Amino acid sequence: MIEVEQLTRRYGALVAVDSVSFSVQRGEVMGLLGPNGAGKTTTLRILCGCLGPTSGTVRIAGHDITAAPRLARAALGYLPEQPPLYEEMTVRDFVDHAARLRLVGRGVRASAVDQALELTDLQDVQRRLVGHLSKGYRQRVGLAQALVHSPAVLVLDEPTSGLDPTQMAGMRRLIHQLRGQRTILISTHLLGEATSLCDRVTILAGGRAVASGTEDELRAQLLAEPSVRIEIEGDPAECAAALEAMECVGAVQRDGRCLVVTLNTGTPSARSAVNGAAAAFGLLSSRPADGLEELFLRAVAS
Amino acid sequence: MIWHVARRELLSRLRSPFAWVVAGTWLALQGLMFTLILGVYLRASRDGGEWEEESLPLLSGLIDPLYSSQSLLLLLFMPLLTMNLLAGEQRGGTLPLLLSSPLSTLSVVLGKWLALLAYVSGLLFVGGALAPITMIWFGEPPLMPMLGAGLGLLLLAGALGALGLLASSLSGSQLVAAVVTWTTSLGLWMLAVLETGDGPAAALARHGSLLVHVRSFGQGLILGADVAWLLAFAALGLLIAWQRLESWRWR
Repeated sequence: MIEVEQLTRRYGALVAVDSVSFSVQRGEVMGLLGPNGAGKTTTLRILCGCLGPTSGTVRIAGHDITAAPRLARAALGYLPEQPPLYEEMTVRDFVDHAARLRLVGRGVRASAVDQALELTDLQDVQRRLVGHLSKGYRQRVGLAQALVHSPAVLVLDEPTSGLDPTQMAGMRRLIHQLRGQRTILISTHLLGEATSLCDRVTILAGGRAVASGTEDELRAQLLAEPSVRIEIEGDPAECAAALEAMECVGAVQRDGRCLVVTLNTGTPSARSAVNGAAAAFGLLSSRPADGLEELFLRAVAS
Repeated sequence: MIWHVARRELLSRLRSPFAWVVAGTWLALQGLMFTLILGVYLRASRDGGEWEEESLPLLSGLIDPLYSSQSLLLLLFMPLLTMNLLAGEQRGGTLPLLLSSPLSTLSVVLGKWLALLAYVSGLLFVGGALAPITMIWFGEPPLMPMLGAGLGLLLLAGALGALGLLASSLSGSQLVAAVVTWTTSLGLWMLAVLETGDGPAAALARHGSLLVHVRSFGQGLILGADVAWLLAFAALGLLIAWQRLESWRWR
């Protein structure tokens, strides 16, 4: 649904995005992760038609953004980091205006606006001026304008930026509701957000895509010796001895009742084998010892 | 599609206190100028004056001065009315809404320009209807020159609006936009002082001065060359503003 190939954007001598390629399948939620200045916002702005690419190809719902820009933009809803709002308009008028700009037909416009307001839980404030709303509500109005034309692709640039924890949770709930219905690309530098919202992530650093995949795939790509942290009911010493004897296990370290098992390979079958062996000692939990944060830091450092 | 942009622009302008302050000031100045011009006309008519006729002709005594005063109001107010058109979108962060929509940037520029013309036409022809109504009520003014003056004002508003839109596309600063529109429009207006004589300066003034191409409308003349010049001026301003807006994608 989103295909990006060798995308490059230069600002004079500065290369903001350097030969970035990734794709997002229909119904998938993809996260663009990266530190500030990594090129996330520039990439999203190119996808949405706000910036032109220096080179490379971007297709949105099969439409090339250079050859058929209007078709590509019609298939896409965009919420920039700062929601684009006209403060003097009421919430309903603003979402209605967004529907007009997105060429929603006159006959279905009112119901499209109602649906967007309902989905973003804005019915109660639809008659209020946008300029009088709190940051959380403004972000939801921004999301409503991106959704009002039922786009196949939704692009969200740091959708929880500047929100308090309650508002963040509300925004994440909203994005969760859209899972499966839309193809979603989210940029964020919050690792927890990427873990909870995204099926896959692409990590950008210095304008380049340094890693891409699910959390497990990233682990296999980035960690030469992935490790698993297991918790057992039985004797940790006996369990450690049993695990050390396995071919796929490099080392086992004790940490209270937990064991940190370093694997020789990052394949899922190695983790399954370790879990199977640990089951004999009353396996309580098993999770990767290296979280997304560790993976992210390794990817950026690489 | 142009209509969607124009509709929002016009509605937002009508909701803005600034637009109503401008409208109030405009109408007050318009009324004051009409009263002064009418007073001078009535005094000159009563005294006979240099015309040595029973009464001073309405065209040169009332219509032309009123047309000139309205032109000056346009010169004064258009920078204020146009400075926010694109600079405001840039500063307010609303540009991504327009650029990521399926609308063309040309539709955005034309929509904003048409909404501005609708508002200014309201000021000129609805708010300013007092003068022609008074003339029609108390006298028999020549209608064609009055319509010609109206056309001239509309064309001048279109040209200055396009210039203001272009200035508003130059940066995110509304102040810069207003100053650029003021200096450019006043400069082009005052270029007419070089008109007398033969040299290249006089030729430049005859071809490039706004005043030279606008004043005929107040004298009851609708010259094709002046209409074409003003339309070309507006088209050039809109074209450059469109290209500026499009170039924002490539900065």
